[in-house]
Amino acid sequence: MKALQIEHLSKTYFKRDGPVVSDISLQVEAGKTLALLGESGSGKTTLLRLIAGLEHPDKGAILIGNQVVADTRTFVKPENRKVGLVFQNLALFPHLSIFDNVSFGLRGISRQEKAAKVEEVLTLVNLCGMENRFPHQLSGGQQQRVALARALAPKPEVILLDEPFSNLDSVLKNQVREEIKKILKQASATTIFVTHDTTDALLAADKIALMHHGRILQTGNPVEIYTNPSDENVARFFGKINTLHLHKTESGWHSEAGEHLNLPDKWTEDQLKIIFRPENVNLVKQSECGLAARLVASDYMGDHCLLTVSAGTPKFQPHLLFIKAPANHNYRAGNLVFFQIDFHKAKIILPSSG
Amino acid sequence: MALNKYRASRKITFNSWTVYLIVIVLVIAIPLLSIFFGLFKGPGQAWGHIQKNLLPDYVANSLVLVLGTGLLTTLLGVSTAWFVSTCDFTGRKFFEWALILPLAIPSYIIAYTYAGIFDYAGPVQIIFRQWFPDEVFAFDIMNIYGVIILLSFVLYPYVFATVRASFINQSRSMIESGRILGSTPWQVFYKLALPLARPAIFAGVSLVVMEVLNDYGAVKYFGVPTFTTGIFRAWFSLEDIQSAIFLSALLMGFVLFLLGLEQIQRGQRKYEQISNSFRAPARFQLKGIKRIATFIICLIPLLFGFIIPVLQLGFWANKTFEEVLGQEFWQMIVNSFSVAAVAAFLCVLVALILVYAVKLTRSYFSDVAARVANMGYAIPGAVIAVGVMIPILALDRYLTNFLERVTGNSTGLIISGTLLILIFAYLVRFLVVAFNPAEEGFKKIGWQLTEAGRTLGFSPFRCLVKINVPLMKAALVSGALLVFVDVLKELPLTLILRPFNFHTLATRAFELASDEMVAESANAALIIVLTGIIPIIILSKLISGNSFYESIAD
Amino acid sequence: MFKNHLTIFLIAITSVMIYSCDIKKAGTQNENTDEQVVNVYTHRHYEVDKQLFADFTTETGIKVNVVNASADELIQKMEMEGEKSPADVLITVDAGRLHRAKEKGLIKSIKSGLLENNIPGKFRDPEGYWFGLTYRARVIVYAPDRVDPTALTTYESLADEKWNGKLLIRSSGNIYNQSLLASLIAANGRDEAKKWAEAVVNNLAREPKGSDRDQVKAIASGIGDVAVVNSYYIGKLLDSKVEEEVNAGEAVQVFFPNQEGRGTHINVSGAAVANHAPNEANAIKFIEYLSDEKAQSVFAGANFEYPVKPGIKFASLLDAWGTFKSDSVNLSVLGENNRDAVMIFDEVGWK
Repeated sequence: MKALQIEHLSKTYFKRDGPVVSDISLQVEAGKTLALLGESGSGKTTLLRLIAGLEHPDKGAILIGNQVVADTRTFVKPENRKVGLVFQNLALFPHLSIFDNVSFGLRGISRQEKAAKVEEVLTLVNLCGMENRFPHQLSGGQQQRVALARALAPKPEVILLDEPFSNLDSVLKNQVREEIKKILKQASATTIFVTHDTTDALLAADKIALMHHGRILQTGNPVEIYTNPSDENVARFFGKINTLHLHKTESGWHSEAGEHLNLPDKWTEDQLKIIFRPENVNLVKQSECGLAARLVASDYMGDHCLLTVSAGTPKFQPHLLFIKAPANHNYRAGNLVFFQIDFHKAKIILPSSG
Repeated sequence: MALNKYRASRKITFNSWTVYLIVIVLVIAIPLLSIFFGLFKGPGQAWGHIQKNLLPDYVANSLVLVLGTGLLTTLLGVSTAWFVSTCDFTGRKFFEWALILPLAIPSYIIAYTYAGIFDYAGPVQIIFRQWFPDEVFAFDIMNIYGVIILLSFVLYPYVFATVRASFINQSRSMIESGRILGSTPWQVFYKLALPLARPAIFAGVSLVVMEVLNDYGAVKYFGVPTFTTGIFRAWFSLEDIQSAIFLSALLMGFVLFLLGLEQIQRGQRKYEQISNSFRAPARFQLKGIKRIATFIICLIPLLFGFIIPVLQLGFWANKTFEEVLGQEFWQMIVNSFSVAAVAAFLCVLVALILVYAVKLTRSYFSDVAARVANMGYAIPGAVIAVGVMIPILALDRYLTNFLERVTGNSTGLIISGTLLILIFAYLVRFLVVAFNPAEEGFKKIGWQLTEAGRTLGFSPFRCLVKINVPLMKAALVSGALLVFVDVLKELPLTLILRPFNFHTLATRAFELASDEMVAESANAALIIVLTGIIPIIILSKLISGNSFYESIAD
Repeated sequence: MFKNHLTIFLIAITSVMIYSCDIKKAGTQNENTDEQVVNVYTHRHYEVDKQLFADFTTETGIKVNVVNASADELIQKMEMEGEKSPADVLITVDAGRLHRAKEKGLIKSIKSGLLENNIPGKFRDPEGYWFGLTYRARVIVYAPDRVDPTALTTYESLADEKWNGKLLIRSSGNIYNQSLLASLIAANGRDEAKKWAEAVVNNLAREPKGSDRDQVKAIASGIGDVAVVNSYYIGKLLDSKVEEEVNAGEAVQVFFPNQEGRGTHINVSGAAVANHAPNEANAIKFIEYLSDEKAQSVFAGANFEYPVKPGIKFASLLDAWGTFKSDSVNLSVLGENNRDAVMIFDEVGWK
């Protein structure tokens, strides 16, 4: 079942700035988590606000459950949408206790029912016993969970989270992310969260929608979107990529990085542009017929090193490639390194034009 | 993240709040518009005379007054605000609130009081006569420079208060990094704090300027013809109400221009940092001569703006209180306080709804509409009185005619003779006084809490009641207090619009003073001043920023 | 949702209304009850008036409701209120304003034998529109140690060069000055009056400012030697609680100008019945009361004004100044000339 459907949604604030959200269509299955991934200014927060009813769309429709909440004729106010929203800065009510914060959205029920519900949600977020505290007495992670509990308490059809992890330091972030993921699964809530961090998206989402300039570039599950990006922009978003232009000559395949390449047989085009990730390049010994390149820099990342090498034959301009290497390699800048590209994992972007 | 882009849109969304906004703005703007349209009707028959003989003086004097008080209040307000917020010296804590006290003294009272201090019967000349029995006392305070100085001494707290709030809000890290980079306190002030406080200075000074422009009592007594006295001259002495309205409209135009300038300043405020840490920056420790000098600089405005006039009033009151204080006097106090309290309550309520409606509708239209509704502050009270009477009397006539038709009995005017018209006039005049703190309050809370409330199923109205109002208590209270003090001091509106047998402290003080019984008027004046002190002290505490919304500003 | 807002709104508005109307009840309630009232718009706000009003109520059972404001504002108010105006009586402190009210049709002519009997013809409107209750003289005061009283003669003589830098007078926005100049226009014509005003401005010791009392104090300080002020302010200074003010009052002597000619300029404080007075009978009774012996004695005793009714004993100070010849021009003329007077002031730069 689809918990949320968006059809051809558009929103423009100022004509001169162009549309912030442009013709977006999207579905989320009930109980699943969707990450809206994009850099700042890509329109993802606006999309979230449109879903919550905090903005009026110019065009298109939004359906929550099977009910139309916004289209050209209808506009359901945010208070009537059954949507939970966790703001980037949480927006906890500073003058209310945790209990009052969480029970804020619970109305029309008796005090006992209210208390029971609050307890249930607080148990879910592991904050039992904090009812009488105030937001400023809690740690950042706890505040995050209160905000989540507050949004979950009225049992909304969809939970929206705006940059839920952006205010946390990296250690706390991993922990909170896991917790929140668990909580949302336990509550089997349909969730959309906005993030600019690919790790967050990959780790916490069932599905990722990548946004850029108000449009969705690609939607897919984390594996799909990481391994099979629809274009270079998408790929680039998930980390460093290498590009190569290939062309077939009588003597074999040529590229900026070298010649006599060992390509999969299924590649039949004469001209190709491919992309591949640093981990798809393996360092080899000279004897293993690798390509040669000179090491430019080695960035120590703890569990591995990211090498930047300058490859190329005298015929071509130097061409930089990234290689993921073991942390304990002992190359120095200026050394020659040899490598092989795992072309089976590379992706053809388009037939190369030149 | 820049949430600015979510704020304004050219489109108006129509809902009940838009309706409230329009209704409030219309009701409040009618008196103002009835004056403003005078501009298009053109001046009356005496205009040639006014233009030839009077206008140059009015323009020149008003400009000199505005520039003079603007400069002097900036000097007094900014220097004291800086010392009090960033330096450590003897009496700093005391000055923090005491420097606002002169605000409690109405300008007509300070004018009468200082004239009394410097006249033949006043202490200055008495001492002078003892020391130089044969000399003629030549110092004259009753001129335009005297007006500038006196008005500045009672109005500088507007600048002091806004600028101090800005200095307090300026991020601690900014000032500290300035110091670490080797700046002297003077350089920190001049290069960092002052440019950042510029919008606040402008906001404070624009309040001062509006007060100056609509002052009538002080300039009239000191014989300085300005636009405002000119309005009355055209209206009453030359019997040309058309020209009076035209002059008012010109004045309004000037004020609109000023407000526009202030808006531009505000627009540029984006760079102003709001501090995240609420610990005040380490204060500059002053030693020796600097310490004494700072003390004296802070003492001067307090001395001249408050202590000396209050002592003089006290001296007079002491001589006369026996005949003045009586049953009637207590009734007057009750009248003043209750009417001020009701007006304060109403102003805050309307301001709250107006600000909220502007935020909810998020359009330029509502923003402009709200500004229009806030213009009453700059218009002389007597002119507002006329502006208010025109529509109310029309409504009254309609009502009485209607009642006559229904009941067959002829009745008198229903609204005009009551306090309702007076309170409505206060609303028109003082709305902005409650509006500004309310707006600041909303700014501090931010809009997200309301949005959070709405996604949790609360209507905008419930969000206002449950979230914004509790969090804005401080801002609302300070708005109410300001209106309260202003109403307490207000004169011309009250004089014209009050019902039968209704006396307030201000009308009493004025009547006695205009009867040239200044000593007798001191009793009422003193009570106005002393009651003004209480809200002002509370206000000052609010500005210093205690615990309440600090915790949420982040 | 609308309901919620409306409730709060209505509660607020009704509470304000209840509060307001409560005050009104205390004030002007004259419908549906048998209580007799008279509604007075008055520029006078002296303690003695309050006493007189209270006495009137005790004597007649008619309650006196009062609005105090300047005559200009009261006239404006009556004009705007029109035929629904609650005002019964208008009291001003000069004839010019009463004349203006008459011209605007705000007051009505009344016939009352008692009033005509109590008030000499020159202190009331010939057509019976308004009635003076007290009069005050605009006199010259001087510093006896510096000025030889024989040098003083007329208002006109103040234009003389010998007073250059020695003359003090308040600003032209003041009605007393406007009336004085109006009387000079009546006596000498507009051109002469303008020349006079011009010369007076040239003779001033300082810019026109402050009150009449301030002019007296300025003489005491030695800033100037002669000043034009209303007579009763001298009395008030001498009666002051502040010792130094008494000294200031004692530092000057009073001179009644133009005794050889038309007489000293006087003005009245007077009353009129409003054209749409809802309680006309009470209004007439009220004015009659004020013109009668008892009230006139109170006026004379307390406020250093001259009572209009002949035969009333003056305050001892006024007695000490002696009787004087007053300008006999009908006071309505002052009202007619008022606007011209203001124009002249502006033209000659009398601030």
